[in-house]
Amino acid sequence: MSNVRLSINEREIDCAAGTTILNACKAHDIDVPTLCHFEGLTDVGACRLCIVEIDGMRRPISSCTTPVENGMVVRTHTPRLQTLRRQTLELLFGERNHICPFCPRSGNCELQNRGYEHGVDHVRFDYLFPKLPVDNSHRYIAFDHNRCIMCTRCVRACDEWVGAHTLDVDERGGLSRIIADQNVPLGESSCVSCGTCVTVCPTGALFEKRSAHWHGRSTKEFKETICTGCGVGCRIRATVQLRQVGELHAAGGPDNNRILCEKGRFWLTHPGSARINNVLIRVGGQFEQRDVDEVVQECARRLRSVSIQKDPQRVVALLSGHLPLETLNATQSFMRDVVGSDRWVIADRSNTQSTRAALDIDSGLPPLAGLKELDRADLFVVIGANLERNAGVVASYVRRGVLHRRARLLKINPRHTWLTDWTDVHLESERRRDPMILAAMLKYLIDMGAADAATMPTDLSKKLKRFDDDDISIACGIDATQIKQMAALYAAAEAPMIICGRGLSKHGPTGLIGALNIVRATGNQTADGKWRLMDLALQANTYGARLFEEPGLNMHDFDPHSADIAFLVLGDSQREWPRTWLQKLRAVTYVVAFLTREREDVLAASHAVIPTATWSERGGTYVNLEGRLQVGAPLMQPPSHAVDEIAFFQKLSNEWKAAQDAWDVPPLPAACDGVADGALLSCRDDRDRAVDWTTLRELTEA
Amino acid sequence: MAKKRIATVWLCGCSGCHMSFLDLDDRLIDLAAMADVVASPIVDVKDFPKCDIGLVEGGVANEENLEVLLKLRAASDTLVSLGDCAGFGCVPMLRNQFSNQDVLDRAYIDVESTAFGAVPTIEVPQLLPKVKPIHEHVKVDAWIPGCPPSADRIWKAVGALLRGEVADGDTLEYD
Ligand code: SF4
Ligand code: SF4
Ligand code: FES
Repeated sequence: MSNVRLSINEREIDCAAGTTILNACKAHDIDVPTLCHFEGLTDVGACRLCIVEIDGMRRPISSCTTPVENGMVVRTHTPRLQTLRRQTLELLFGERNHICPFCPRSGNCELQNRGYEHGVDHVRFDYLFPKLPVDNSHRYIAFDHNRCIMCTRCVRACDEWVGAHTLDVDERGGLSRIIADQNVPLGESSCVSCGTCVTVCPTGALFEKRSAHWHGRSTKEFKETICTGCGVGCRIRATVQLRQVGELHAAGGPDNNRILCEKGRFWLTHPGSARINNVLIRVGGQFEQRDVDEVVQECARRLRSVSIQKDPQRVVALLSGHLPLETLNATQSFMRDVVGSDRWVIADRSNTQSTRAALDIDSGLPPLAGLKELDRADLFVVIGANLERNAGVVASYVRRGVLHRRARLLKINPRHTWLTDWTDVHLESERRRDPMILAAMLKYLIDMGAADAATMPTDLSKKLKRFDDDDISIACGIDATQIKQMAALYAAAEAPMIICGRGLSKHGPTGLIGALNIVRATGNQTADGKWRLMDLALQANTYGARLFEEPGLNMHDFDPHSADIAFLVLGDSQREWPRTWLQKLRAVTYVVAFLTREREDVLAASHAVIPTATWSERGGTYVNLEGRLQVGAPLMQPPSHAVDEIAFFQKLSNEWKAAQDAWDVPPLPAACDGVADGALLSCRDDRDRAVDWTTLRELTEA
Repeated sequence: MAKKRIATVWLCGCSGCHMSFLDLDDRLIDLAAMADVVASPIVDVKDFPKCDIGLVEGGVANEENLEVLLKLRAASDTLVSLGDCAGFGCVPMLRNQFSNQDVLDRAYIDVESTAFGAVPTIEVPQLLPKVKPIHEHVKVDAWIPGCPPSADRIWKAVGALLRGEVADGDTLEYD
């Protein structure tokens, strides 16, 4: 890139052509005041605070929207500019109704800070006192138009980053106002509740309702950790004061992503139920507060029983995939090495064993795409996933791809979700037909010459030749032309990305295998050998749990009648379980639940309850859906009543086993050895992996 | 050095700025050595005597506020706007979005805690159409923003004025 030389404040500065004057200043530590500029958003020059004088120009111009030019002579802080800036600020204060003392952003407000910097101790212009509304309709966010300075940072973030484009500007000039959709209340709009607008708002116009009652963002001290909401593993920054977590913001993360979803932004800080503060033991029909040692002794007594001694598989453990790897590691090791049972499972609603089988986890971690690849994709195939609900950040990446890069969107899902309105093709097929549809898509790709069929057995290719559109329509229960259309779009795309949700693997591995086959046969690999396929891990450590030896239990076929003890290590997991699971649990003789908050469904099935530390009180290792290892730090110490699961199992082992059989918690799986925070675990090389033709065979037989 | 004369007044504000002034604590003794407080809400005088420094808390909301402000302006050499209400309008300014009638009805009649309310009309000053910061009515020489300004800030500014200096504004605070 060509270089440009210019002078800023009598300093000769070199920078790349195309850079704005503002960014050139920033790069050289020249502090130009701004309000509407936000790193990562398109500059629009709305606030006029960043004005600079340029020799030869009659008027000062905004540096954020002016590119550098060779030989420019720029001045950033002349008395005239400072006077103009002060006047601009006074106009901003006088234009609407700013009453700092009760504003949740006071103390960390950009408008206020600019006011301080420019000596605004009063406003010399007449106040306008406009009558403006406060929109309180949203569940988490309040919008006080009295404090809005029309910088449009929220509008741009909602559009450019979140891809929702819920916010926009209505009217013009002094009447202009931020609106949601066609001027409906925010709470009734298409808002996806990611809170990004709140994060970028420089003032107290957009604020988190919760922060009206406490510090919000008034402290500038941020601590960083990992969001435990899902497998994307966003890094979050939080303010912490007096054991309270304030606003949560995106803090870089897997793809330096600047956004969070509703789960990360709000769910973590809006727990639905009361914290459990005591060890509880069921006595008769009631829970009584007891000491944790009583639970340890009771567990040990039961573990010594004849039936468990004879068949250790009568002990099961259901773990939340939201827990750090350290806790999962200790629990599964306790199960395997101390109890001698391999019946533990990550208790989410995905079919763990079928995803493990499809991805062939036993031969190493598969190289799968991450967020970064989503931002390069020009076509998305979304199968069996409700992105908006389960992976909001992925949904944002998809939306902004569709919105700004005109990426195509294909969806295979019986349900209609918001994204459905954006699709090029939507197959409203039955879920159990997914494997057939994917096989049919592969067949069409082969027909089109877009997929490599060199390794296909000849008898199969003969069979396939005789298999026509009508046969496919029957096998898939859906008009074959739609599948053909999908295949054509997929073939035409340069970087098509398949996003698979848990629905795809619900009825077995063939769906996910079918999706992998398409990617393999079409050679859709990134330069660094990753398949252009994303497997949405439902929970933060679903992927991390794959590092352990295959568990012998699957929630789908868990038979509790053969269980004497169940350890439910659930942490913060709040999502209610399907009723069938609970019914199963009731058949277990002794259920110990490790929980942070009350959960009626689980409590009703438990005999002992152990209160544990919540997400903000524990640090730990997480592996996200592309196999990236990340370490989160605790934001605060756990309260004294919280019992550490690892310590509990250690105690139980000591109580139960003789000294010579003492168990020490093993280190994390070897795959994590020496992997730095934020680095990818090493995946197997899948370049020469063959297509699994059985899915096509099943199609011809259907 | 002759002792300076200070007058303070409380217009449409909550008295917080005066509380903060009293928060000067032991510095009040130092202040007493340098200046006499010749008028203030806690000094019983009916009219302002001539003074060097007039400190005004609160904005101008009604006719009486305006009258008092004009008198103090006339009486003092240096008029200081103390706090956010005097300087920015602040909380009282919230009523500017509504008509006076609506505000009075809400406060005296519609309010949930009142059964048979009525808007008082006798011996109370008329509301002005809008609450405004004092500098929209009279010339102001210095501002001490804050809600309320902390005692330290007041001490810094008033101390400077007593010495005939101007305190730098590099530590502004609006809340
Ligand atoms: S947005 Fe900023 S300037 Fe406006 S009232 Fe709030 S703190 Fe004050
Ligand atoms: S709401 Fe906030 S971010 Fe949006 S335009 Fe107004 S001040 Fe800017
Ligand atoms: S930052 Fe350049 S105009 Fe606002």
